[in-house]
Amino acid sequence: MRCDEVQSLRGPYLDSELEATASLRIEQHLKSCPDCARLFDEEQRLEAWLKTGMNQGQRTASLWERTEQAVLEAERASFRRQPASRVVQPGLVARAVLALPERLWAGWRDSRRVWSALAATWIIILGLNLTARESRETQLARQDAPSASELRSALEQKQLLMVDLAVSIEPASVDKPKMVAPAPRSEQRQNARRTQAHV
Amino acid sequence: MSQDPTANADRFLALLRPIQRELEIYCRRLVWESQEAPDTLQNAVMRAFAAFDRYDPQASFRAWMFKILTREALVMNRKHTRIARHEFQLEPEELAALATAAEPGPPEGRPPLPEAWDDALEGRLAAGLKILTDTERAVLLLRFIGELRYREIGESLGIPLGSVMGNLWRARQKMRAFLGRFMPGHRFLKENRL
Repeated sequence: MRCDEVQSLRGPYLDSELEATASLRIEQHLKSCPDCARLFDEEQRLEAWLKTGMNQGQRTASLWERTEQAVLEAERASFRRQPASRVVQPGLVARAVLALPERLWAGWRDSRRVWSALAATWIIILGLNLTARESRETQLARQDAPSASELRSALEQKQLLMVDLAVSIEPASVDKPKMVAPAPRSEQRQNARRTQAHV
Repeated sequence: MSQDPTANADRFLALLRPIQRELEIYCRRLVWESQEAPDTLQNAVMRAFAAFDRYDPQASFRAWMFKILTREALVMNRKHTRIARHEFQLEPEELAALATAAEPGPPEGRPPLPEAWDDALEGRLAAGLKILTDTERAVLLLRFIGELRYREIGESLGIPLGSVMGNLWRARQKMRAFLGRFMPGHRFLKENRL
């Protein structure tokens, strides 16, 4: 290797970034070249000195305590925000079903007053419903009674019949009776109304 | 689903604790305004934790965390475009000239590098990092503090391997030149050439 080639690789060589073969060739050159060896030696000492200087300084305990606390607090906050797992696991379902009676009993045991109040309320509602219900006879009787419109219609029919009866019992005329075509039923109805109004 | 409300956080923090110091130093050096480092760091950690369920346990947590922090810091730096306009954009050649103008060292040889890192050196280092572009600074810090591989640096910044090497080379040259100005006898850039 030439001196300029070796010098161009000074940094990577001192940083141990060269491949083994390249490093070996440089070392062989340095053994035979005192000028290059001196420069490499100077460089190495200077690098070590600079490195020492740059690494001067202490860790600030209070800063790192604050930082660590912030990390721990962020972790706790994240843990609290985590939603419950949405994956339904068969084992968990079976366990929940088996534990249901026990949980119900525990619920009863732990809050008897609440359950008693609920039961009492339900009984009262049921009792009120039974007393307010109509008997079957009342319902049937109400069903048999005619409505107002039915009564009015029946009355009209009765009046028509009375009119027909009155006409039929009138005394027969001396003359030969004329054949009179019976009036339509609507006319009869009007006549009946007129008579009724007159009466 | 775990029933422990903090199991995830505990796992995350267990991975985070060993690299807290490196993350904090890296963040302080990468952000343009150092007072914004705590907020940037906390935002990055919370962002990483929110994405922790997508983290591949086979991958390097260190590289993953540095990647998130880098992006957070660069977003924060973009908010300071007004300040960034004053960022030095010097080429290595220009810096070489600066290094040459520095006081010459003693004739008997180069003095040893200072071992103790005092406030003055720290200030110069911080100032030196400010002359780098955001990408150069991030590449250099990811290498020196994060100890990431070139491939991991490229993934963190979303740039190809060649760009990683180019940015790293420029960042080293600029830093050497800048620091060499303040240390007589350590004209790094000039003397590290054949």
